[in-house]
Amino acid sequence: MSFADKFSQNFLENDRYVYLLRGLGNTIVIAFFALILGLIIGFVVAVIRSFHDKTGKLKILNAICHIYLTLWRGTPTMVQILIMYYIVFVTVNNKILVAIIAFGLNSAAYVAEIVRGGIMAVDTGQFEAGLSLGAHYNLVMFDVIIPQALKAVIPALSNEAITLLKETSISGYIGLMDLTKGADIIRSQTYEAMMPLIGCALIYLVMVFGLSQVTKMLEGRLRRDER
Amino acid sequence: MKDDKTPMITVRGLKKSFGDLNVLSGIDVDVAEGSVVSIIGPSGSGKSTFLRCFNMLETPDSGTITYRGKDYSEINDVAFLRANVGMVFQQFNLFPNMKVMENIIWAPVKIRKQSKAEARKNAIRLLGEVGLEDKADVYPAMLSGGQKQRVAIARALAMEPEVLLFDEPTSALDPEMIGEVLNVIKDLAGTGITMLIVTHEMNFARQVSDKVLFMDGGTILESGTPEYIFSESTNPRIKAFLSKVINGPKNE
Ligand SMILES: Nc1ncnc2c1ncn2[C@@H]1O[C@H](COP(=O)(O)OP(=O)(O)OP(=O)(O)O)[C@@H](O)[C@H]1O
Ligand SMILES: [Mg+2]
Repeated sequence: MSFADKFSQNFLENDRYVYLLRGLGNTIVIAFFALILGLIIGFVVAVIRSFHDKTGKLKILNAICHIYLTLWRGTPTMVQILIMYYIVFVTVNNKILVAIIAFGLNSAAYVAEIVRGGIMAVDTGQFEAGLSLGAHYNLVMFDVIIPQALKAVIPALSNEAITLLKETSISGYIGLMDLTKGADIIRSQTYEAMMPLIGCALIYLVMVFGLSQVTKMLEGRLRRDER
Repeated sequence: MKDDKTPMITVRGLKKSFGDLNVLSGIDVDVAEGSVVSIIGPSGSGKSTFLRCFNMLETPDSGTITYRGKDYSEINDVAFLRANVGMVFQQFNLFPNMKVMENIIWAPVKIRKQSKAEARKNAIRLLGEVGLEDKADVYPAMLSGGQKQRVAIARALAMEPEVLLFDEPTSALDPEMIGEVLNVIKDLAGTGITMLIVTHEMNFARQVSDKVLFMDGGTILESGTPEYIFSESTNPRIKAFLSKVINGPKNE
C-alpha cells in the first residue's frame, strides 16, 4: 500500500480523522483548565507555605498543604486519576471534569513548590525595604515579592505546562477519548499502527513547540523591561 | 547642636544575641530631634543590628527604645512606626519590578493613601532634590549604583519620615559615585530630619555629624562630638581603628 493509500485509509475513510479532532479537542480542554486550576491552587498553597515560613503563623493550613504535597507528589499521576474516577468522584458522570480536577490537583502540587522556590529566591532585602516603608507583610508579598518570583519561575512553570499536556495522554484509562485514545481507536480499526500513532505524536510535538515559543516570547518581553 | 533638648529617642540597656553570640551587650544612647548621629566601628561590632532595632527589623532581647516618650515594646502598629522611621540600605533594595516613579509613589499611595497625582508631584520634587528628575520612567536596572541609592533616598523621603536610618549607604558603590550620594545626605542634614548613619566614610562622618558613636564588640565604646572622637579621644581601640581606616587600604 502506498503512503497516500495508508493516509486515506487511516484518516479519511469513514471520517476517521474525527477521532483525532475530537480527541485533540478534549486534550486541549483538559490540559488548559487543569493548568488554570493548577496555577490557582498551586499559587495559593505557595503563598500559605511562604507566609508560614516567614512568620510561623497559619500552622494548620500549612500542615494541610504539606500533607497534600506529600500525597500528590509521592504517587503516580496514573493512580491519582484512577482513584479520582473510581473512588472520589464515582458519582460524577462528566469524565472531562474528573480529568480536569485530577490533573489540576496533580499539577498544583508541582506549581506550589516551583512558586514557593521563586518566592524564597527573592532577596530578603526586598522584603525589608517594603516593610521599612511601612507596608504590611501581605502588601509587600503581592506588590513586590510575587511579581519578581513569578518572573523568575516562568521557565519552570512553562515546563510544568508541557509536562501536564503530555500527561493528559493517560486520560484514556478512565474511558475518555483524548488525542492519544483517538489515535489508538483508529489503530484498532485499521490494524495499522504507524499512521495514527506517529500522527498523534506529531500533534503533541507541535503543541509543545508552540508552548515553548510562547514562553520564550514572554521571557523576552519581561527581560527587555527590567534587565 | 540640639543636645540641650529632651532627646527624641532614648535607648537604654539594649541587648541582643543571635544564639550564643552577644551582638549588642547593653547600649545607652540619646538622639536629639533633627540631629545627625554617625555610628562607626569595626566590622561585626553590631552597628547594623543596632540600627535595625530602630525600625524593628530586629527585636532586642532586653532594654528599651523610647521614641517621643513611647516605649517600642508598647507599639502595636509596627508598620506605622516604620512609616515614620525610614531606612536606606547598603544594597539599595529598589524594587526591580517597578519603574523609578513607581518605586517612589508605591508607599505613599498604598500606605499613606495619597492620591496618585499628589504622590507623583512629590516624587518629581524629590527626584529633583536628588538630581534625577529625568529618570522617573526607567527601571532601576538602567541606573548606576549611585543613581540607585539616590532613588532609594528619595523613596524613603516620600513617606516624610521623622527619622531616617542609613546602613552603609555608600559601601556598595564604586568610588567615583560615593560623593554624589554623600552630598545628598549632607543636604538633608539640618532640614529637621533626624538621621542615624552607619558609615565607613570618616571624613563624611566628621563633617556631617552632631554626634558620633564608636561601637566595638556590641557596646558603645565612646560617643561624642566628631571633634572629640576623631581628634581628642585617647582610647587606643578608637585610635587604632581610625588610623587603619584612614591610612590603610579601603577595607574595614
Ligand atoms: N540574623 C543574624 N543571625 C545570626 N547572626 C547574625 C545575624 N545578624 C548579624 N549577625 C552577627 O552579628 C554580628 C554583628 O553583626 P552586624 O551586622 O550588626 O555588624 P556590623 O557592625 O554591622 O558589621 P559590618 O560593618 O560588617 O556591617 C556579626 O558577627 C554577624 O555575623
Ligand atoms: Mg553592617
